[in-house]
Amino acid sequence: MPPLLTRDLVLRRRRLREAVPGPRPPEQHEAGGRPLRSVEGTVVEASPHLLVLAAPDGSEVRLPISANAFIWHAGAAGAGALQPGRDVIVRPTGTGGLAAERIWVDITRVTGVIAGRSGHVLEVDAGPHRGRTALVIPAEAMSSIRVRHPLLETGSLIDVIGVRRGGEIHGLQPASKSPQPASHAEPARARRRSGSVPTILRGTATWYDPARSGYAERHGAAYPALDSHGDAGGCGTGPPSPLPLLSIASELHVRNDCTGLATRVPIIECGCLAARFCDRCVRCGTSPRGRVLELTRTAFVDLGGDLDAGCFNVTARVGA
Amino acid sequence: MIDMLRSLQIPFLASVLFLACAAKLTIPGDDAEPVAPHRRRPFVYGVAIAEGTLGIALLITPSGFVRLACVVFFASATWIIGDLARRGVEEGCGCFGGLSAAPAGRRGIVRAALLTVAAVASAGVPDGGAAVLARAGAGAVLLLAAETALLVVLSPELALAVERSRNTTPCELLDVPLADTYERLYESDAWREHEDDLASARPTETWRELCHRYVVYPGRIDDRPVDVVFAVPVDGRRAQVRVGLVWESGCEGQDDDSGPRRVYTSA
Repeated sequence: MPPLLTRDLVLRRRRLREAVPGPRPPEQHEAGGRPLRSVEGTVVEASPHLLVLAAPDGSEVRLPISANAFIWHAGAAGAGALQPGRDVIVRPTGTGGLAAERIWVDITRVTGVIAGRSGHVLEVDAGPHRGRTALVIPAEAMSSIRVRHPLLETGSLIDVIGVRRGGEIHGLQPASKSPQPASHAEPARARRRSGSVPTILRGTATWYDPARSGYAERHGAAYPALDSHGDAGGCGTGPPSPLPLLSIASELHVRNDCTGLATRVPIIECGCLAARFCDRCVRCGTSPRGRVLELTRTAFVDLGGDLDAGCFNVTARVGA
Repeated sequence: MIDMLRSLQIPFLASVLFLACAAKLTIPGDDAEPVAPHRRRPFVYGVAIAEGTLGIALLITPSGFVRLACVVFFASATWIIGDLARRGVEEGCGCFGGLSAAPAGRRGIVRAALLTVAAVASAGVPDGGAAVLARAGAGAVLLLAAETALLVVLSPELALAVERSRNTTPCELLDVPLADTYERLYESDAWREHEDDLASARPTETWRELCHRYVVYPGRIDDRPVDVVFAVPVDGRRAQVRVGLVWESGCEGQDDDSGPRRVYTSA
């Protein structure tokens, strides 16, 4: 049974870890810039210049909307998409303050293994934490999704970005721009002759919506290689990963290689499925390896990521 | 026969010195642990060069000074290994570089003592090692082979070299059951030192990071509650179990260092 993940657990384990004398990991890569502060919540009221949100903790947040703000709602949309009751996540401008620069409305992502199909509706198994999701693929989106996921049959991997519409999740576009080598592919375990693996990970970071995992924590990451013994929180499933073993509440210093922004990110979930994908992120160059992290959507946006683009390249140092 | 055996010790000791020199120069020790001054690279390389020089000198000259240096060298090694074993520290002798990482034990002492005996026995041989080898026959080769086999049997390094060639999985990737961690913990110095401070035999939590598993026990020291944290290496006996104490205090208000608080959190 994984421990109940709270911010207190992250801080407690950090104190315990740091109490043990020993060599500290050296600073081996550039620290990166300060992260942004994304804001998520439900639209209460919106005008062309002001957005009022109800945050997850019940408080109300008023955000000015910058003149050239980009609003996403199943593609580029106008201020009309900011209807009360809709779920939004806002990325502020990088100049400080809260002015909204990019707003995603009702965006969601479905990543998993197809467990069944009935016409345009796929049942996707997103792993033990996130459960199963019914994914509707509208006819107009089918061709673009089939470019990356040609089979769409039971057992195939799928990863799409979509929008919530009236209680349904509609898949709109494949989340990855690079091909998955095979729909069922699982990476082979790397044979290493050296005595250690690097504790600086360079690879792809994707995002997920933690609300579907049932965790209260919204800033963090799912990591594919969690230890499955003791209170480490590993799910004990999936193929062996060539990533170093860590635990729930371990911390990573993550830098977005595309924007240079960096932050400390706790591991809050076992990323059982990420290790099964063999694709590469092709934002700002091809990532040197596949998926090393699934960031929560707030952590992803804090680091300057575009949710509709699906991924960015990261450098993550273990033991932040 | 006895004379031949004594003479053969000169090339034998020279080859041992060459092996030790090569191992020190090519197989570095574990850098992850804090190292004492005598384990630092410049010192180790200095010893390796001294060993190589002594080996060459044994081969080319019958000088009494070289023989004396050889006796002193092996006698010192025996004393150092004996001292390490007596103090029970979990530190290897480093005789063959990174391969000698296992804690010093009886086999290592016997090996060093036998090499010292060989150095003493051969001190009075009138020829250099190269001259001895030049006139060595089949019997001498057999004797050398037998001595080498004895040296290998007495060498704990062999087991580590075999393990390294077989198991190349880095410690960060090793899947290690909890039972192995407890076994490693219970036989450590850190455990013996803090065993009496623990308030419970059951750990409050265990988790893994890279090559260590952290095991936390509730404890009491001077009537104050304390968390005793053991960091247990997951890959065998080479690294030490480390321990830390965390006194009870709230972590309220501790910053998570991920930038300014979100605007809507009640700080």
